[in-house]
Amino acid sequence: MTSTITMIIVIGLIALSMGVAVFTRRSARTSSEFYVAGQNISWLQNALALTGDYLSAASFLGVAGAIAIFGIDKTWDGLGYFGGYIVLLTLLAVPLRKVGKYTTSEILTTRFEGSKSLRLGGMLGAVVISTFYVVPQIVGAGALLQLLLGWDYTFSVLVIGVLVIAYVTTGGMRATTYNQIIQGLVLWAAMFIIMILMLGTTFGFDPGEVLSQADKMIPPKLASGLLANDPSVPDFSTLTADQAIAFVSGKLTGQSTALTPGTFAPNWMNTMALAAGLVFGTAGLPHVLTRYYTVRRPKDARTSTIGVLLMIGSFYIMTLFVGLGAMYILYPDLMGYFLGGNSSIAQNMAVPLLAEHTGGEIMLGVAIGGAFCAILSTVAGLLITIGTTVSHDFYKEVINKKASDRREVAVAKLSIVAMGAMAVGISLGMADQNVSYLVTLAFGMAASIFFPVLFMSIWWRRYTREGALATMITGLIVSVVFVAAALSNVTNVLGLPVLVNPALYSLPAAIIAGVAVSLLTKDVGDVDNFMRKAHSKTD
Amino acid sequence: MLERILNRGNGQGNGNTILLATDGSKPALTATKKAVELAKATGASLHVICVKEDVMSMPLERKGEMLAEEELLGIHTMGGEVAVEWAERNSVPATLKIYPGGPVVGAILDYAKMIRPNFIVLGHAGRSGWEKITLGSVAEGVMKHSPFPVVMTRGYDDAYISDIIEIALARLRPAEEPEEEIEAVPLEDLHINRKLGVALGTLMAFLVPYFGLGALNSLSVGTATTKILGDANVTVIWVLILFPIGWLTAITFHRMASKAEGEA
Repeated sequence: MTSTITMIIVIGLIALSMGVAVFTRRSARTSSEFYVAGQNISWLQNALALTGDYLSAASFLGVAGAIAIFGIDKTWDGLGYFGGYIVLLTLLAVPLRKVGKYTTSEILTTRFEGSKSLRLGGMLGAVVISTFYVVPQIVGAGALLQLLLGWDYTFSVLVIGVLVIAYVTTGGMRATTYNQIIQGLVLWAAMFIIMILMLGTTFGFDPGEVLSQADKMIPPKLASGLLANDPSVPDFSTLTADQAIAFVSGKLTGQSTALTPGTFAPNWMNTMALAAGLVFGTAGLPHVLTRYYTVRRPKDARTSTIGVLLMIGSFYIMTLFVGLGAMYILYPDLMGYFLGGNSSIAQNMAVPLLAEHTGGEIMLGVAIGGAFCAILSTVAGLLITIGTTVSHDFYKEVINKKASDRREVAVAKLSIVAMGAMAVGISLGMADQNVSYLVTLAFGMAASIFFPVLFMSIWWRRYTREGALATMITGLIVSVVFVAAALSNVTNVLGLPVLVNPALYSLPAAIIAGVAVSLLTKDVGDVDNFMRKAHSKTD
Repeated sequence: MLERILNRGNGQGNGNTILLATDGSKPALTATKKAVELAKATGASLHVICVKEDVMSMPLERKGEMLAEEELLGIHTMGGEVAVEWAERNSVPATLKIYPGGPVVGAILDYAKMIRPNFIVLGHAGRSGWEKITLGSVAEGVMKHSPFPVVMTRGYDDAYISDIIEIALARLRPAEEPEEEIEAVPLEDLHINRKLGVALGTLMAFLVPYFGLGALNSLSVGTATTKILGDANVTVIWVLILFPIGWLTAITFHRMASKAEGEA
């Protein structure tokens, strides 16, 4: 299915994005004009870097891919990823920028000075969340290589793992931030081009036509499940899109269409769990939070976030149409993949397949190249965050207070390699999962482990050291238990039904534990100075 | 002779001045010594410019970069202060100018055009290979674009800079920026509760319709799938409207927060 043209475009796009990044880094030194631009556009640079960091394989492949198999219900992913930045903006962004320099846990250790347990808890939480975030990226990349080169999934994942770790650890850790800026732009543009081509070739440039087709289709994930053992199912590869849709609709009358909510999250508890996990998750993702330390002025933390909201909001609007359009155009293919046991392709590859369908090998190259950019930039951001957390919060603060910079960077690199290897191992067992779904689980954990403890530390003066610890531990335990249950298909834990996202249980549990323990204990930490630091006037 | 050569440049500006650009590294200390020697020999005064490189990066990336260059640069000192002190020891009048950020070459040239020196002195670190591709060379950039003569020293020799190094070692550049002093303002003046009110209040403008969509989808599928605009049903329109609502919420919050801070 791959061709030389496609390969050239994929490699070219990745090389170009890195080349431009190097050039940008260089011009920060050697440009001969003294534009004060460095200062005035830093919020824009930061917005783009955040966008590149944030728009991952989950967003580029997963969201549209999930809409293509589940329909409108999966717009929750995009909406939640988007809304999360509003929570982050209003509740955390500026105080976060004002307190701390390296890691998110510094908020906690600045207020509750010298708390080793909070530092360790912060590190543990960051590692768990980030692992869950890295894994889907690697799963996506593995599926891409499988599609692109026809390699075996296991081999693809191993190759990707080695490449990504090498990318982050070599080169003196230089300019990955600039790569993120460029990759953010590449991703957005790739999605835009795919959408325009799709609308032009199939829907006469009418987005309304996409919706009207969507209204007639039964989502492939639902349909393939219902038709799995039906002997009358034809060979879908011989059918056109309209024939395939007509066959399925005729067979399964009265089923939900692609525009009916509830296909993925079937009742209010599941819907609310998903919505809550996503919208409060962003504000707890370590790699997103640490990026705020690269903004120069605290005020820029707000303007950068608004920039991100514009970029990703428009991006997710595009994924809605691309996803539904892909469902129509690829209907026979998706049904065929599901029924033929190739669900890893069906789960995640709708965007590249659609690109190939509408724009041939060139567009396939653009889509895959875009996805690789997404994966590289996100994984780089995640691994650097992990490296910083382990080397700063754990090694430097707990193990060896006198560690030299060289030592600290070496420890960071080592932990990046270890973390990368672990993520590759887990990815091998996750081939059949939709990457957006896996990422939503990471969001659920972030919403429970970090968001509540940060929120209460920043705003509540009566919050205590023990309360903070209770919040974190409760969030960690409850969310991990329910994620593990969801992934191993356990349907209830202690009488509670297992939902698509842990947050409906773990977020309230963490908050209640924090409030209750705080009311029973007294050590509010260095609250006055902390509050002054976090809430003083911004300039 | 030396004096004639060095003074013949475009130095028709503010009199007899030499501009030294320094980043406090060993190659720059070499250039610093050379600049002070030349200033003394020609009776010129010295202007020292120090530009803080303005690169967006995470702390770990910064440390990585610093380490990758350690051999090349040898030492990280507050180059500007070191140069001024060295000049004073040699009774050369010196002025220090520090640029907080921006492209280094551009800032040097910008300042040069302002003071119109006889010539510019700077050190060439001697980057090569990947370092040169990714970082480029400030010295070469200045050479290429400067309308003034440029004196460039290359690399460093520990013996030559052994005396200035002593001053430099006393003025090492801290790896981290010093903490800002926090004013001991009374906590009431921070209006924390009011700020939280503004934050939560604006956030609701997004969260209510956001969770409202969830409620609609799960509690009343009939309403959710009612078509209201062509084939677009209530859910689709609601989803599409939530994004602009989010933008408006964010912008409103930014305005209100800025205003609240102004009043605080």
